[in-house]
Amino acid sequence: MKERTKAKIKKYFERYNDYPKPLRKGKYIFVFCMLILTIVRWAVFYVAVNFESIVMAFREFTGYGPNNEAIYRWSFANFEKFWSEMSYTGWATQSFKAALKNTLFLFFAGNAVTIPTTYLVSYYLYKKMPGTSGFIWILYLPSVLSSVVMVTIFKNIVDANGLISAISIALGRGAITDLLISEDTAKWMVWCYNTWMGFPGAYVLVTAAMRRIPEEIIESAKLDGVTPRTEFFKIIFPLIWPTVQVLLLQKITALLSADGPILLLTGGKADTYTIGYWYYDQVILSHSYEYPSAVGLIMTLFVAPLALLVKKLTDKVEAY
Amino acid sequence: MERSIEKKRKIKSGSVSKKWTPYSVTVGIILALYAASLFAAIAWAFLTSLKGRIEYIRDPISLPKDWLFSNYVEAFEQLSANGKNIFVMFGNSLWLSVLPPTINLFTAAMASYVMAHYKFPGRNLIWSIIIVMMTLPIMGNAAATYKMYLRLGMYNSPLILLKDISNIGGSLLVIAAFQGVSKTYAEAAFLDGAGHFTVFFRVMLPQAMGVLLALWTMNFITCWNDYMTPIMYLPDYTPITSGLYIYQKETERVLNVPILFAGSLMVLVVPVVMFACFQDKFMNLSFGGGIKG
Repeated sequence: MKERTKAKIKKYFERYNDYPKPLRKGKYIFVFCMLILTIVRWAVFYVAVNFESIVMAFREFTGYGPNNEAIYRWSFANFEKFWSEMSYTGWATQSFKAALKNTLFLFFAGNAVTIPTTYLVSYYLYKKMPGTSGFIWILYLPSVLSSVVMVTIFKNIVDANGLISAISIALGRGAITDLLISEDTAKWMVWCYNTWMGFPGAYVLVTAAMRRIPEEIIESAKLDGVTPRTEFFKIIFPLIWPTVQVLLLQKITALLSADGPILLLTGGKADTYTIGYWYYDQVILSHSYEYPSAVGLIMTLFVAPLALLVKKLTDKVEAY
Repeated sequence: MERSIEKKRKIKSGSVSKKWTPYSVTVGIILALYAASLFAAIAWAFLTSLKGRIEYIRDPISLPKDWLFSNYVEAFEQLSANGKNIFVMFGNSLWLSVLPPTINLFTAAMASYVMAHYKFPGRNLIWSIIIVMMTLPIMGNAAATYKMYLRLGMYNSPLILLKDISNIGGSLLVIAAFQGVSKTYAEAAFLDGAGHFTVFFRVMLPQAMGVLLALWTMNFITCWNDYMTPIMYLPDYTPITSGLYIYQKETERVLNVPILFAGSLMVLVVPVVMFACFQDKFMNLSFGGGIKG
């Protein structure tokens, strides 16, 4: 029996014999040493953290014990709180409901601009139209420039005493109010900033995908006399579909985390509360842990199947 | 025959379209306007940084009457946040930008090398975990992360660097970099009697250094610009980016905008210089050209 088990183990490890015999013994020690740090990191900051997040979602703080230790009990109170907050018909600008509304606004309004411009600009850069090398350099700048600095400049441009107001006065139209303080304009200013710094979206990935298309395909299409529009929609777009699919999945994953630097721009005031800022407020400022964990679980249960569904649907498109 | 060759040549150069069409004009104008908006904003900030405080309040548009380059010296004296002066903040920025990418890429290189070049039990499982982590979004674990940092003594401590250890199996870009390095280099070294560690550190790691260096620079810039991590987890180790935000909050009513802009522009210098020095490697890596070691 023992012999059979030994033989089985030997056979199992034989398939991993990719090195000469003298090096095989040290191989597994080497592999262990090389992987151990990343595995421990994953176990602590991914598995344990997410497990604790799920556990906390079902816990309710009930008070302090005799030794001043916090006492919790298992309950669905956090989910009930979420439900009552979402079904509340009144309006509070610093609630999760407001944060959800603003985040979805920033997501859809932002993508309405960045998705079309991503493809328009990428095709321009792929075709090496006039100024391409300079534009590539300039478009890369927003990812190099510090958000804090750019927000500081932006805030002083739209401030009541800032550049836009001064131009308005010089044109005889009078001073304007601080666009980041008014509830009517603040959200749009956040959108403006996000669009300015996020322009033109994921052009790097899309341009790179276009550049990987074999030149011969484009050449033979040209010999057949295709127009640029046909070339883009019938040849290039289907060929870069795997990249488009990845970008779509990224968008879905970012559905509830589209916010921008709210802390720097408005500090969550003027009806600009977003989910990202709500988490900062709950966890860092208010030290509330259980309710945000429950909300996180609900968001995951909503977004994860959506991401899988989008993947499945886009996989089918690829098959054509 | 000649006409056909001529036609082919024209088509070859036709993939580089220099023609002015309604599409190219429209997109060209949009891109030019975008570039102008970026440069105009930074130029305005630079001109403002050379004005006096009252001069700026009275007229934010015009050119400075006296070009006060001394504002940059004053920024060094005046800018402070959480009781830390600008030198301490720059010092914090430096270690918070140098160590995280170094730790991250070194651990990523270790894991990625074995993922790329070794067969071992559990390798497929690690690949599956990487794929699941990439496709399945898990949201809202900020509270549990914060509690974990508190429990491990990482909150407000340099131990926070532990979070920068690369995630399971390294990073896909680093794995791809090692996959691009031929195994024959390693085999030659093994024949000469080198062990696994020697081969990794002295043969394979230098081969992937081009990609690692480009990634390190990109990560350095990201860490230099990161203001949120220190605000959330390192209140006593304020770097210059978070410091600029805190300074604005602390001096809200008496904010000296020209001095603030002078400090802000100094923060921009480091990433822009890094980008200018390594732009070719950045572009090659980003646009998929690949970098050879």
